[in-house]
Amino acid sequence: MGTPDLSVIATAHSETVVCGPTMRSADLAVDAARARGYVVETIVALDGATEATRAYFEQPRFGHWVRWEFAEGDLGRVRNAAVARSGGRYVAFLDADDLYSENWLAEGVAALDAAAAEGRRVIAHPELNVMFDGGNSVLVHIDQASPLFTPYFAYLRNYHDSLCMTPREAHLTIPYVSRDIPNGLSFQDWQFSIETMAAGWEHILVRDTIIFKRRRDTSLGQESSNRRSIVRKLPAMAIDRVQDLARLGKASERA
Amino acid sequence: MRQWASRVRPTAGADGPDVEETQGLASSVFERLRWCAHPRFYLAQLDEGERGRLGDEPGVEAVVKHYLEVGAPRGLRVSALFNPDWYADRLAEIGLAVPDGEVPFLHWLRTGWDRRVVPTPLFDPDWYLEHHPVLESHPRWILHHYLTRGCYQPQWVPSPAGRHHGGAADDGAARRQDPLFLPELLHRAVDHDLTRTSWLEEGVRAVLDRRRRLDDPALRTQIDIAADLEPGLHSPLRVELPTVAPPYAHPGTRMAEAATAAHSALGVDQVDTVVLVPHCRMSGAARVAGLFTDAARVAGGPDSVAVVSTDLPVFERPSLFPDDVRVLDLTRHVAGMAQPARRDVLHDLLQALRPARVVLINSLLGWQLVGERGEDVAGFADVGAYLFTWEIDEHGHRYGYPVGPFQQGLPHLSWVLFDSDRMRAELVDRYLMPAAARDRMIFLRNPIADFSVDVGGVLERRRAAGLPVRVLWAGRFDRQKRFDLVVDIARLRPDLEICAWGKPVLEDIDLDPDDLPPNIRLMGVYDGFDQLPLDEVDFLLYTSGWDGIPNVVLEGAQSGLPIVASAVGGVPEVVTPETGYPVAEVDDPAAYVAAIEALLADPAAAAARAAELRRQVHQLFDADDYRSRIAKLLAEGPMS
Repeated sequence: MGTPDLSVIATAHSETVVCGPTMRSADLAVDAARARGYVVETIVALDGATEATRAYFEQPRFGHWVRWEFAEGDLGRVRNAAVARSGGRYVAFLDADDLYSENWLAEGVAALDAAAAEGRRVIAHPELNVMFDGGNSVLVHIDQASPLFTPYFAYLRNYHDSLCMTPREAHLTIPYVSRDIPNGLSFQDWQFSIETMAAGWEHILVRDTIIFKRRRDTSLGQESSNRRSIVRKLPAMAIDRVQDLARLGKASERA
Repeated sequence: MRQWASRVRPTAGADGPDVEETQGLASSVFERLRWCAHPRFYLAQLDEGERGRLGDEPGVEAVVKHYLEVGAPRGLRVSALFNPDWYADRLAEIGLAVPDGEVPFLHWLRTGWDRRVVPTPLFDPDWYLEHHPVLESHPRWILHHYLTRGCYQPQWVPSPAGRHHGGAADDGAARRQDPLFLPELLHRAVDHDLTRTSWLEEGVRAVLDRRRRLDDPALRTQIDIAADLEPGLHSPLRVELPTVAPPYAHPGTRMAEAATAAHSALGVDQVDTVVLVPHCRMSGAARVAGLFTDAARVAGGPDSVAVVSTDLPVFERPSLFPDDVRVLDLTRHVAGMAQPARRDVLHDLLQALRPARVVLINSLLGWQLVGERGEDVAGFADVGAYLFTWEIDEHGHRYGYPVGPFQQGLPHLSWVLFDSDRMRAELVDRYLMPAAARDRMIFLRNPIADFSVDVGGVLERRRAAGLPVRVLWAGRFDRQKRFDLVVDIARLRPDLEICAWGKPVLEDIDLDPDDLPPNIRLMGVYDGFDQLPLDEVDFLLYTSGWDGIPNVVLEGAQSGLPIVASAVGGVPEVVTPETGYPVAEVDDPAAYVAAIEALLADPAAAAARAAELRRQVHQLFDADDYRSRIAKLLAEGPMS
């Protein structure tokens, strides 16, 4: 296999059978991408995996996935470590309980290639989030070019879903931070989103693609509140700088 | 312009038998227009001069008239629920169009309404009826319900894109015809041509577009494939699924922008002290806020203090504050926001200003913030406060900052200043404060005003000359100040000539100037106590039902006026039988008359008491002492 176009990295810690639909959806999406001629490497990153999880992924059914074991104990750090070991031009993560739409990988690579051809530094996200399990709803993303985009929303929530397809360079220059230790929380995706926008990366939506998110009820309100206080401390979110966050063309102007 | 309104009547036949006209419109059409009119939305499309001519709250009638005369020919929108482009698209779907030269909105009122054409993306009649089946018996077109009720009440969800607002009720919304979604509609107004669309309408259209996208065969195929893999993914496209498109639907977006805009408007990145005031108008608290701000500014230097006005967009007496202290009217940044959004905007603003301390001086929003999020605020700043007095309702029950807000906020307050020692002692006793709390309760006299007047001897000269007895009363014509007692006193002693200065502020009493006794003269507002004709009156009458240490009493005292005063709150700390004529039976007009008669019976004794009072207040209520104690408090804390 030559240099992969794409590294697909599924992360798991304690999940087992819930990964069945996840991995089936990933297989379909990988097959579709390969059918378009893209070279895809498939990786399961097991971070401090439980015995049950390790046993689950040792099934012959997953023989076509490389299994890497880590002991990072942190989603951000294991992602960073997996990126370092992977070889794709682009990286697509997958949480072990979510599902890709079949076309996500193929359309995502195509979108990133098209953007690169135009000289744009782009991170891709699915067009829709369809939430299931803990409540069914559809989340419509707003991309940075939309007139509805406002950087102030980044104070409140992560603008972009954690699921993205990213040029390797973005991950290497802006690695995920580790957990917010005092609060025991993880908000790596949110910070990654803000810091990439601040660095001039454009987040785009890939038409017709979907991430299906399994929503389990946790104390999201409290987490969200604590995270908001952390987000406010990011330099890009300073009250006198936030208005410039993600302004298209801003980063290139600065450069 | 009435002629113009008539000129645009070519489709008026849709109204059938209507013959009566109002401003050129058939009465039924005019009635629809009134239902649809949203004054604040219309004002937002006018320039400052036009808004000024219409006034802050012109009301529906004035706005409709202005719209017909001025707005309609210019293409302005008078209704937030009419979108001309959306209407044109819906008309086209039924093979119609607005004739050239006709105002689309008026065309809709005459023609589109009868054809049940919904002219806004904000309302979906099928959704509305499906989700509010109780409305199936509504006697009119269902849009009528949303227009006249639904858009003013939070429980009515009009569209699959949601309710369009934060969900808080607003009791005055229907009266003002301010739809609850108006703040969202006016959000980022400068980025939109409000005559055609808005942040909200664009957001809703984005949601609706995305919902339509869900019917796209390509997306449906993707969902079907995934649903085959994961049975939990059943029926994700049911119409009742909430669909959201942040950021437009998230009230926090407006809050974050408001906090940033307020910070920018203040024009300073960081300050040491933020003074929170409710507004600035004729009140003792406003004067104290000015005194404290001045003292803090002297202690910290230029740009060390900012004043934030939190509750009402009124700042009538800026001269009370130092010229070089920045004042922010936060109310214009949080207009239309429901709680707790306003509270949180204030929190975020304060956090951004990184002050060493935040000081509450009768700011309701400030007390709410400290009561509900005091731990957060105390995490980045010391919190201080002033407490002046209780309020008393019409049933005689006490309420106000010393009750709930103080109890809730106390754990987060580094110190509390009282201008009345009695008030301090009462709270310490009432709440059985332990030493740790008691030590943070500080009695500090406010300094007397910076003027030098001495009318000592005037009373004796006027009495010796046999002039009519002239009484000075000055203050707000509000329930607290008990002007009703003044009226009773005037009737009991028709020989008194009572000159009453001031104006109603809270407008919580009925005061009919034509129904006053002839010996009461309303003199109007005054700008500074020393500007009053103090050498043409015999004494000061003070009648408040409750108070702290009232400024007017201090100002009368420092001027050498004899004083007859209700012995409420902190007044007995100033007016005693040795220094004036305190009235213990504060509700009894006869008690005041008795005190007045005692004063008049011995002018020399009254003058002596006034002189003693003048000496005491000049000694005890000293400005330099006040400033140095504030500086010490700010530098060293309450234990200094």
